[in-house]
Order: sequence, then structure tokens, then C-alpha cells
Amino acid sequence: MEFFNYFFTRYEQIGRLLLEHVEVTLIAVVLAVVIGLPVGILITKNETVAKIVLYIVGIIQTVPSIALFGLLIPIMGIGNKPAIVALVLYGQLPIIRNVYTGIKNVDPAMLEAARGMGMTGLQILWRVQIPATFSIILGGIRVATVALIGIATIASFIGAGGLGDMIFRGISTINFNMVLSGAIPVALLALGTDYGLALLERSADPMQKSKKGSAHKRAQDQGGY
Amino acid sequence: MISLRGVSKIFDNGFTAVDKVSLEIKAGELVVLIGSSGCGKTTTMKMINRLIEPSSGQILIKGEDILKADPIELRRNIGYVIQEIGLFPHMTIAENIAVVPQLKKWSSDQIKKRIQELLELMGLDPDTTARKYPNELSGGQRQRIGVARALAVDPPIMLMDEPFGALDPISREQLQDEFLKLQATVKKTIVFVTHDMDEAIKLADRIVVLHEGRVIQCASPREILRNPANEFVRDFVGADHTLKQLSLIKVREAMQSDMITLYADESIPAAMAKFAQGYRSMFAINRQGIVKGYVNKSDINPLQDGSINQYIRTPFSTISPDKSLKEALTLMIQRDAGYIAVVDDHGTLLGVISTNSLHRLVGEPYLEAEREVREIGIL
Repeated sequence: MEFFNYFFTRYEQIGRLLLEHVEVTLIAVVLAVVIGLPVGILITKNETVAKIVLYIVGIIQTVPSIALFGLLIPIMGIGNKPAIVALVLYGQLPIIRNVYTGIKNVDPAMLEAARGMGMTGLQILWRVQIPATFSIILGGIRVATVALIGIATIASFIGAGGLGDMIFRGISTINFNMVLSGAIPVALLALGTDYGLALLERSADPMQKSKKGSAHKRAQDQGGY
Repeated sequence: MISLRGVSKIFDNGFTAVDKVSLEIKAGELVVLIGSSGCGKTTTMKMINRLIEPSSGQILIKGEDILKADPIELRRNIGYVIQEIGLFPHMTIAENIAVVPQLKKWSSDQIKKRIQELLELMGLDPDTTARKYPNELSGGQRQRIGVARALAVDPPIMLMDEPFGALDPISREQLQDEFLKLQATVKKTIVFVTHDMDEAIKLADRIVVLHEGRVIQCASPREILRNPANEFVRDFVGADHTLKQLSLIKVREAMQSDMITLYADESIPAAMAKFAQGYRSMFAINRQGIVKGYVNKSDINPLQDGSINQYIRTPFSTISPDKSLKEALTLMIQRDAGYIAVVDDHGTLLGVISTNSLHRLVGEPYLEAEREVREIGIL
């Protein structure tokens, strides 16, 4: 009861922190996709380069986030800029890996048919490879987004704002109501995002495409083809 | 239409997949490339749309060197069907068929009309099928869409790589039959790859047998069955090549139409006079030529009055002249009959197929002299 009182008297502050949190995460995810998607596509052209790139983003992933923030402070100071850079780096592994494996695993028969029908390399990429792996790419983005929501919480340590502020302040002042007021919204945000993106992912899966659901509606909107 | 002149393909690892193959393919001809795996049949086919570049030699389409053409434009003008079909799962059936027309920048009205036309041609309902996704269709339906997609811009040439290989035997037979009917109307120049001799015999105008990258024999199905060029072809054709030949010959070609028949209302002495030429039994027809049954000589009592009508035996086996000899033989075995009446749709007797006529066509010549048995009105 005491918690609810605490929560509702501070809902404006919590709402502001939630928005900050979403903003930082969203900017980071968009940038991570803008960088990761082309990198993931490009490395499908060369096995050696792919191995090296995947190895590097793998290493980044193993650096503890608090350490990475620490490393970025001397270069970029504090605030949400170094936080976003760190988040973008953490987002690379799931995105690049999914784009790469998705495109690499497109049914070779489909590619042969596409080539045999006279599609150019770019047409095959845009009309066959990416649409056919869209759900896998979305899966990578989902994993990255959920992870970044979590890491963004820690980023408040270096002044990125967000719900992490409440959690850390609550811990240092031993105010558990404050801790929970930050932790519960962050957990719900992560769960809700995961669920929403998973739904999107499923509707984009070509194997799930059938008369039911959005795919059919889309076909109808396009007048049958 | 398509000429291959001394075409070879040596892969980077030094493997010679195709070794100086020369081939002339006429417009409207269905040529089947056949051989065991690794014989170079698929490589030969894929060089025609430059999915594989030849190492040496020349390939001409309508007299023009394809190596000088733009490969993308070349492929858009050649229909291509593969065993795995390669339909795009994220596109509806209509979108799949529309791929090449869109690449060729057709108007959307034109594309819509063409999709409708093609689905009808394939025996699929355009209204329900067009909006479906490939995973909602059966294997046979998907393969029909694969063919429809290849026909989309009405290319003069089609390349088909074991298009029916992944289907169950029943759908395969059905699709082969439909495909033959389709080919009779569209008359494409087709290069068809298979390893199935039965399929080759059924579909081909000409069969090209390949082995280790070389053409071993290039001839009509009948010629390949009758005169295999060497042991390899003989083995490939299989020990049942005589039976396979039967599937190629129509009853009409093999039947004997000069047999002697009885009229149902003929008198017994007149009938006995006909039997006196040495026959054991004869078909009886009415005055309109409709077959009524058959009469065995041994049944007739020569002292009896009246017509032979009373001695007519039924039932008897009949077959249409457009069936194959294989079907005729199947019927003979099923019914334990030595002969079958060939009748048209009205039941008019056109001729007779007997074990004798089968022998005459496909049997070894020395056996013929031994066949002295006189059957159903045929010497």
C-alpha cells in the first residue's frame, strides 16, 4: 500500500524517466539497425570478413557494460551520448548475426530460381533475400531492443537518465519503494516490447503466411498480387 | 532454335563436366537430356541461360551468340523450372507469377490478365489460387505454379531441370500428362533434364543420352529403345525396354484391320465356310459394323438351323485406338485374353490387337516364324 502511495505521488517523475529511457533505447536501436543491417548484408559476400566481423562484435558483447561505459567517459564525457554509443555497440551482435545467418540460409533453390528468371544481384537482395528473412532480421532487432532496455538502466550511472536513476538513487538511500518504482516499469517495458516485437516477427514469417491474418489482408489490399 | 557447337565446361577444380557437346534443337522440339548424376546434363542445360558459363565452344539462340548477349536479359526471355520449384514463400501465387513480367516492366493490368490466363491454363481456379501463399498449396499445385511462372512472359524457350522429380508417382504421371497437353498447345522449344528413362520416353521428341560429359546417343525415344547405341545406353534403358516401347505405340498403329468377321445374322453354313480358312474364332458384327461379341468355331453345331447369333459369346474386351499398346497388353493380362477388339466411341469394330500383333511390332524377328497359331480372324 505504501508503495502505491509512493508510486502515484511521483508518477510524473516516473513518466518523465520512462520517456527518457525509451528515447535513449530507441535512438540506439535505430542507429544499431542502420549500421548492423548493411554490415550484416555486406559480410555475406565474404566468409573471411564475416568471421572477423562476427568475432569483433562477439568480443564487444563480452565486455561488461559498466566497464564499457567507464572506457567511454574519457573519450566522450558523461551524458546520454556515450550511453547511446555503448548501446549501439551492444546492439550489433544480435542484429548483424541474424541478418548474416538469415541471408546465408535462404533456400538455394529460391536463389537459383531468382537468378534463372533474370533478377540482378540487387533485385535478388531486395525482393527475395531480405523479405524471405525478414522475420529472422526482426528477431535480431527484438533481442537487441530488449537487451538495450536493460543496459540503458545501467547507463544512468554515466548520466544518461532514464529509470535507472530511480533504481540507483533508491539503492543508495535504501528506499525500496523508489527502487521498485524504477524496476517495475523497466521490467514491464522490456516484457511489453518483447511481446509486441515477437508478434510482428511471427506475422512476417513466410512459413506462417496463409489466408488468415495480416498477410491475407495485405494481399487483398494489393488487389490480388 | 538452339545450337550448341563443341561446348565444354571445365570447372575450376579441373573437372570436365561437359566435353565438346554439339546439339541442334529445332523450334517447338522437346529435347530430354538424360544420364546418371554427374553426366553433365544439368550443366549443359544451365549453360543455355548462362547460369553456368561455358569454358569453350559456342551457343547460339536463333543464330545469335548468347555469350555476346546480356545474361540478365537472356534469362528473362527463357522460362526456367527447377525441381525444388523455388517459389518465393513471402509472395502470393499471383506475385510469384508476376516476377518476370514486373522485371520486364509490364503494366499491372497486363500482368493481372496474364496471371488469370495462366492459372486457367494450369487448371487452377484463378480467384482462389491467386491470393494464396505457396505453403497453402500441394506439391503438385506448386509445381504447376512453377511452370506457370516460367511461362509468364510467354518465352519461346523453356529450360526444365527435373521439374517433376520431387513429386509422388501419381502426381508425377498426372503432371506429365498435363504437361504434354500443354506443350501441344504452346509448342515451346524445351530442354528438359531428367534421370528417369520412363519420363524421357513419355515426353521427349528426342532423347540425348549423356555420359561423362559426352553425348552417347541422340535419337527419338523409339530409336533409342530399338537400337541403343551401346551397352551403356542398353543398360540405362533397362531390361524392360521392350515393354517401354509398347507405351510409345498407339493401338491404332499396331492393330490389324484386315481381319475376317462374321455378321450376327449370317447363316451357319456361311460362317462355317469362313472358319474353314483355318480360324478358331471370329468377331461378330451387325450390319452397321457394331461389334456384338465373338464366336468360337468349336461351339458351332453345323447341323443346327438358323443364324450364328445363338453362338455369340460375351463379354469381350475392347480398347480405344488412341490407347497405348502397354494399356492393351495390361488389359490382355488382366482379362486373360489373347486378343482385344479395337472399337471407336460408337462400338464400331476397327481392328484387332492380339499377342501376335505385339510380337510383330516389338518382338525379335526370329520368333515370328514360329508363331503359326491362327487366332481371331487373323492369319
